[in-house]
Amino acid sequence: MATIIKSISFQDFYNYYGSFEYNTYKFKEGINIVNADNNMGKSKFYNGILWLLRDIVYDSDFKRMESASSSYIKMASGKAKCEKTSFLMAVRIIFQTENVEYIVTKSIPFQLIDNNWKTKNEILDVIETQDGKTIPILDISAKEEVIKKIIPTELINYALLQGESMEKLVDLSSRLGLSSTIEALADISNLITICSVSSELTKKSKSLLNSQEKDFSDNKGKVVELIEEKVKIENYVDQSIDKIDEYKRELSEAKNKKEELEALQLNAKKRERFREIQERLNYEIKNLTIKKNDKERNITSNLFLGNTPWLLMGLQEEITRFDEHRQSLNEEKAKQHISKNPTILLPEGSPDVPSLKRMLNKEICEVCGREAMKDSHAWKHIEKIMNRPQKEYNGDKNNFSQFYSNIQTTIGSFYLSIPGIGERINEYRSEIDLIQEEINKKILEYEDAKFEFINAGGGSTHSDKDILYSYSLAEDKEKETKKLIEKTQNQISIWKVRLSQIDIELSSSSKNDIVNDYREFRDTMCAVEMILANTKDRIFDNIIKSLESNANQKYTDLTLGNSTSGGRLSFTKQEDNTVQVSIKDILNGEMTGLGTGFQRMKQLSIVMAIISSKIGNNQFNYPFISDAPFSEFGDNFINNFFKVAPNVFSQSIILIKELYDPQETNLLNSLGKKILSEMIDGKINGTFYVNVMKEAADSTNLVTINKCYKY
Amino acid sequence: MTAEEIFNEVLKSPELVKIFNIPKEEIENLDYKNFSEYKVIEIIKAIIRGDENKSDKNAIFKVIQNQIMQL
Repeated sequence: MATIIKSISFQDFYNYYGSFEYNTYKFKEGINIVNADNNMGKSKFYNGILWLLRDIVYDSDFKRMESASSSYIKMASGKAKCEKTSFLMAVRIIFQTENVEYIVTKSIPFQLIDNNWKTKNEILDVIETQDGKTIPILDISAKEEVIKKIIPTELINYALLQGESMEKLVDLSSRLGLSSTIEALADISNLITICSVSSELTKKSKSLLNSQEKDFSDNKGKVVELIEEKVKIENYVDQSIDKIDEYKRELSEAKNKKEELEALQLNAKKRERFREIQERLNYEIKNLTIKKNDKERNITSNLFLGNTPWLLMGLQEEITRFDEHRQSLNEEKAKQHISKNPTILLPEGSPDVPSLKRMLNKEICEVCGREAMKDSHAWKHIEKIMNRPQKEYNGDKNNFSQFYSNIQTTIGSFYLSIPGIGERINEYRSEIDLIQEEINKKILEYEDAKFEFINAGGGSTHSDKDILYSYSLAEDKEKETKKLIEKTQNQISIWKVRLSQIDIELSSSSKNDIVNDYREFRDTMCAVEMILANTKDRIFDNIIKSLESNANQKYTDLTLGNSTSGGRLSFTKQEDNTVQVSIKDILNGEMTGLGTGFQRMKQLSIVMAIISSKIGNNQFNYPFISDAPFSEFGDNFINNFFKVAPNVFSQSIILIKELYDPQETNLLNSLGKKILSEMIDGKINGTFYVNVMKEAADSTNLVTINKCYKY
Repeated sequence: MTAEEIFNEVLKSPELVKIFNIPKEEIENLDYKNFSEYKVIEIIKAIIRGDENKSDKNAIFKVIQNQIMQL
């Protein structure tokens, strides 16, 4: 029966301010989603589980796990520390397994003494409820056993995952990595023990036979001599078998290294091409950025540009108004002047363009007061004056006083140019936008080239020269260890021939029935040892086969609909009995450097396969809890995960931000809405929560509350 | 794996036919709980049972030596 977490609650724990009542997430079988933006409590939630199960927390400042006891002050709610003088920080998990419900609460009391926060000893409360009876568990080791029921220690690395650690989920690089995982999850550890016991019992039977042969021999001296030789040779054989194991391990390492380097070598040309493309694009992006920056800098100059200062955009009406004021002023001045002096002297540049335009419209010359009918000689003369070349503005751009004075004197030229300013600004803006578009395009091309470069094994700290050298070393090591294995095996064969000869000699020396019975005993024990060892190997091989097929099925399901091929997972048993997993392309070549999303999917597929390959049990019986598992995944991967996960995990609790959209009223993006709707329709079984901030606050005073969209 | 599952897996070993001449049909009828006339089968059971009951190696050896092999 599966372990199901029914609820997780927090009290004055990080962002979760206040009592359990305000900070409870109720969960059920299936997929349970807690959707939250950055800094809205996902990792804090995960830390609550880590604290309760493993006495550690993840410190995002240092990006490492820390012991909870050294992080209590950081773990406590900032708001509680601001507002209270004492409080109890706590995390509570209520779970059910085998019809028994457990309430596990871990807490720590805080008290403010002389302006310093002091903590008391951690408290662990466990309450068991079965058949309506509630019993508090008091014994500390019994309490710890209950905690292990949530997720057993040996499975915690697979059931409790943080996105960043997912690449290391199944340690494929260590010698025993996957093989020890297979042994643990396929539950063949007892068979391994049985094999080891059998081997020791065989040795005992051999030793017993030796003593019987000595006791019942007709020629004691000769028999003792033969037995001593036999024991000596058997020791040599044992030592040589150990040596072969060591050589096989070295051979396996050398082969893996060679294969890895082979893939890197094969892609050297590809890497070179994409390195060049990256360099070229980098250069082009740099130049375009300089060009764009120059254009942006020139915006200020254009605001005060000679004939068409952008500053005047939209001020055309102001010029008309200004002209009207000026006209009335001029008229007033003219009247005063005429009354004193009838000779009119116009200033340079006069009459100005607006005046001339008005004269043409009114068909009258305002200088002499005579009529100037349209298309008449006088009218055309006025028009000619209006279209005369304007004097260029050569003022100092930084001299605002002069600039504004000139606006007054050169108002005519602005009158004609202002309507075009808007268009000119738009053109200028389009030019900048075009450059930006070009930069964006080049950045995308650069990212593609970088992706291809990394796919081809680029980005490693080793140069191609280093790779060649390391390859040749690995090749030599492979040849050398193969020779050593062959040589040692030949030596063992020779020794075994001699052991058979000794056996024949000994049996002819002592034909006693009792000795023959012990000989039969030894032979049977040797055969049993071999049968058990072969059984173990056969089971292991079958599991690898089933695991490979299962993992590939999960991998295909998880990467379904992706435009890039993720290849095929290949599980290979090495000479040293370890298992190597690689990703092969359709031609069975090694695929290297696939993106982080693919690598995580590979890990997740292996774990899902391991979990669902468990003999006699196809469901993972413990909750799968993951913080930000999808931080490197696209929508397609996420969608696929939600389809595959319910077939593997009885319950999963996923802390995620990829479904969050702060612009939407329900804070869900389209994928989030789709998943929620499928949950509401019953297509996906589970619960859906969204974390929100109670109010804007600084990081020490954050308060997260949850909204339950589906339970 | 349970003791019985291990035993059933061991019965699939071709060596039981090749080395100990146990007919295939008889192997199919063998049972972890019931006694077998074949000493090798009883030895295998004794080792599996010993692991199941967390018995000491010497105790397992004694059972095999004295009770099964009758030495």
